[in-house]
Amino acid sequence: MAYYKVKTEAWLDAIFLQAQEKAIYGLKRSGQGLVYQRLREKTDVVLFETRPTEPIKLFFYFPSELTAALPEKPFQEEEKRVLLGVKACDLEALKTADFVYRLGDAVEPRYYSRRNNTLLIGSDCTRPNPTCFCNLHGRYCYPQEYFDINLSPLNKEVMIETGTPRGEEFLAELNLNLAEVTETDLNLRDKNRRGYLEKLKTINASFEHQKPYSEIVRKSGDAAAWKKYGQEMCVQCHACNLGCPTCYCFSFSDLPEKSGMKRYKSWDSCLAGSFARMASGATPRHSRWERFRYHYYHKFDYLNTILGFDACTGCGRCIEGCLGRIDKRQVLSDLEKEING
Amino acid sequence: MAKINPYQPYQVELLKVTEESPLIKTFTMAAPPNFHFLAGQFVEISVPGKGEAPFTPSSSPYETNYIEVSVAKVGGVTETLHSLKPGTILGLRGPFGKDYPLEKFMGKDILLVGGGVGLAPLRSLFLSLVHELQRFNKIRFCCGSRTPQDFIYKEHLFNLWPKIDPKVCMRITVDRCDDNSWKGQVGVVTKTLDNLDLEIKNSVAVVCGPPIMMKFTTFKLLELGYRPENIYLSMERMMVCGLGHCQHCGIGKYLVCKDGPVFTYQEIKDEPEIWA
Repeated sequence: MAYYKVKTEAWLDAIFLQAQEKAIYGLKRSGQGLVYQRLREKTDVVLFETRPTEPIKLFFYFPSELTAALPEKPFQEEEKRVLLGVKACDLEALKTADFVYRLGDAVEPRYYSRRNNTLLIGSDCTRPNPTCFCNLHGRYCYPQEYFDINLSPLNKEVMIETGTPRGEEFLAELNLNLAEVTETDLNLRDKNRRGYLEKLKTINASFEHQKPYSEIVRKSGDAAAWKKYGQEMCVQCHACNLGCPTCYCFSFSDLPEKSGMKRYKSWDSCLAGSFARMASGATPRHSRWERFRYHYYHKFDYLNTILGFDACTGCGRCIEGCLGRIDKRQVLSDLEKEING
Repeated sequence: MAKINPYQPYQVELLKVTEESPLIKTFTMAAPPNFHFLAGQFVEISVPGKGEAPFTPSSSPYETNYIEVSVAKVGGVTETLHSLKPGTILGLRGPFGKDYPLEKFMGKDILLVGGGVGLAPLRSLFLSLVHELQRFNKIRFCCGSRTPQDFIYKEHLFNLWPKIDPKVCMRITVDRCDDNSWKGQVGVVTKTLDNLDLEIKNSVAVVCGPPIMMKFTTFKLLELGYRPENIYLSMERMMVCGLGHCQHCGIGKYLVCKDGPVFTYQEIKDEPEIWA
């Protein structure tokens, strides 16, 4: 919508002032990575760098939460909050979750409420991780849409791009002394962005592919790579599902109460043998490699057919977390080699 | 604006439990207010605190006071259901999914092929068809079960439905019978599909039963000249949410809960793992 710039220190001061009254979550360092924390007293907050270890879905659908009860419990609207420093891969992931939980005929009311009450402040990913591969999807490591506000670094200033009227309103509330953006500023931002993409290209040089991932997966059939990675290497730890910002599958657990029940909705994993098992014990995917393949088919074929893009944003959390040391990029490269014969 | 919670069940009273066969009971529940379903759609029934499972109603969609489901005792929830007495309060969500497209069946010969507890959705469909019998041509209802004792709706199958109308013909078979009590046909259900006396080109077939039965019945129907788009299959999968959210019931790019459970063979024949 519009571009502005402001001194980085002034931006941070204004955010921390707002954080006295509003729930604002920003990134802080933890171990090797970044995690979200609720901002209160002024502390170090990371505006750019890379995506956090935890996927953004943690803010919108929880690992396990009460979802229904008998007798019925009234549903509470979620509190308003702001997420600061959301990277492009996580913003893109919300498109998939929105399709499932927010835009269909049946809306998930908690997701709907949390989404509507969350302001998203994105920021450019200036330091991609060794496992990041958004570029291999033809995506970018800086947000281009799906944000209310986006930040890009400009020396000692931040460039502010508003994406929605809601973003404009929030910016006005910050009472900042905003300066106009010059062509030199835009050129600098674009030059910086090309630099981040170069880093990603270097990281992923050995995983370049000719065909789109969707086509590779669609043509893979019973390729040997599925068995190598899915049967021999996958230890079914489900880290790829749990860390994935687009994975949204869940199960219900009904627990008895004195006079009724409580129903919990918990993340589930398509790698689990029980995932598709029916009451009779029959399951369409007996072997681990078939379930491993299904995980790819769902992201790169089925959802791509419906949504028009891969339900994988290249955040690399599945590679980072995998106990079997499976690199999704390598799996897809091997599949491409195999289908090319 | 707060949204309705689609995971919240209605509370319904269990009115009657009918023992159909050693493994299968039919549960009659009071229908919630303004509850309507169409033949082929499914509901989620929960035993409070125990769990929820998907079932396709077996009662007539025109019956608005109650809803019936026939349940085989095979898993955790179904085992608990089988132990329940009338008066128990159950949870119910739905109806979900697509129904049988009766408007496409008009003026056609209709073949129903069911096996075991797969007769449940077909009963609901059959009752819908006979409700407006004048709209359809001949109806052939082919039913199979493992043994004579395993048949459900015995009174209907053997006594009421064969006399319902000259347009309706029942064909009944059992896989095996160890004594002389059974005078009817013995053999798998595909055997009842020979000499159908239907105009195949102007006919639709509806199949519901265990996966292996659905598979061989479909192949037999293709052999008989049925086109894939005229073969309707009621697919079974692990439908958890019923709304297209949870992803447990995927068949390729389809979700059984939203895009099914009624599919034509044409729609799903190229998807993987369909005969689970």
